Amino acid sequence: MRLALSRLASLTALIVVAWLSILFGLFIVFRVIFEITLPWQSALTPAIVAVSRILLSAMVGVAWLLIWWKLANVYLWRKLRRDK
Amino acid sequence: MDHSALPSLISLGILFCIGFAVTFLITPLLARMNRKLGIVGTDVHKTEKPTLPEMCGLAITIGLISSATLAAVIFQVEARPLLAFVLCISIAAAIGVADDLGPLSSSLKPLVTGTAAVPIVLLGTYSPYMVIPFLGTTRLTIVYPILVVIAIPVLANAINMMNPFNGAMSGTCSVLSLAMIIYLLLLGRPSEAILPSALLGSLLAFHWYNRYPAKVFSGNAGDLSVGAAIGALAIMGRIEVPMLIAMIPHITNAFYLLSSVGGLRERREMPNRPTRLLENGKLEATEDGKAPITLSRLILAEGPLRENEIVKIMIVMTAASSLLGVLTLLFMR
Repeated sequence: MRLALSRLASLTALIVVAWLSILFGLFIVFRVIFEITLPWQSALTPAIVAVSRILLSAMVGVAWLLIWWKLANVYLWRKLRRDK
Repeated sequence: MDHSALPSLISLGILFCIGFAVTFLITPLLARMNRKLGIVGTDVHKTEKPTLPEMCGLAITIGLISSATLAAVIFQVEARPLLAFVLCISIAAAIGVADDLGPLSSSLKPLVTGTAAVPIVLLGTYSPYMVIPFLGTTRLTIVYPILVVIAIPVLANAINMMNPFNGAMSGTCSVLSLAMIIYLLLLGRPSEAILPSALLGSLLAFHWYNRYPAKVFSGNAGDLSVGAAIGALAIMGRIEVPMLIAMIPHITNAFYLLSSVGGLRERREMPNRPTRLLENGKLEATEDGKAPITLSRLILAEGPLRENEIVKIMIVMTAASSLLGVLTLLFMR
């Protein structure tokens, strides 16, 4: 029971980090990236802005996933080595 | 309590019972039929390696289609969203059946699962005004349909990847369905919770047969159909962000697996296993650097556990992330 609780505590901490990163990521995407505009106006400006927003949002998405991946990796190998 | 909500709450109860009853009655029939047809799989996490009927998760799909049909007939629920939902889960189930009978390639499967999103987009049963925590409503007129086509296969496959053990899919998805009902009740939209309620009934009935030690497997047919159902209901119920939060264990598990094997791979294409069965029936995490990182491997990193204990931890983790979904809902008001 104690062992299960200790596992749950660590894994729930990973979930909380993922939750915070999603909230922060959504804030960055919708408050910062989606507010981006270009100082000049041309026929191509709307397309450039739309593509830039999508690319930057995708970069935030990849950053989320890399943070989760790194944390899971560190957690797994630390626990496995300690167990050994 | 608001008395006008009472008829909706009664309809939730009725739809729950219909979903439960249909799935509970159909599952043993499907199990017998699949065994007769030789559609069976080996329960690799048992020392005696029993064979169990595959593809029985179709009973959940049948339970959901029956519930949706009765919702249209008895409660006169608007037909368009029900039709979009039924088509979406039927397409996902058909893809699952094709994968169960003759495995689809790992890169083709997510692509074809995207077709399950087409009825939602074509019938326009989504709102492009997404509510973001702290920021309020945002307009995503062009991007939203694209997100729908991406979200359905991602969620369906994430549910599929989170089903390595007896009762893992049915248990964690029951929690997700309950979370969906709670979110919609908290938002004051009980009438929109009838399909999540039918899904909860169907999943609990299926869990009766699929829980440890399982008598049936859900197969890709059941997993993809349930994943598509959850995605469709999150989109149609406009609870995308809280459901994204509730599904953190499923989404992170899928991403850990994909990134550690370097792309889309089927289980049979991964020779290095993340867990190993011990002689005492417990499972332990392998120390193989080439084996994929999965949620079950993370759970087992602290030491061996029985299969049902791992599933219990997965269910509690899903409940924890669903609670964070409730907290997120508060930030969305």
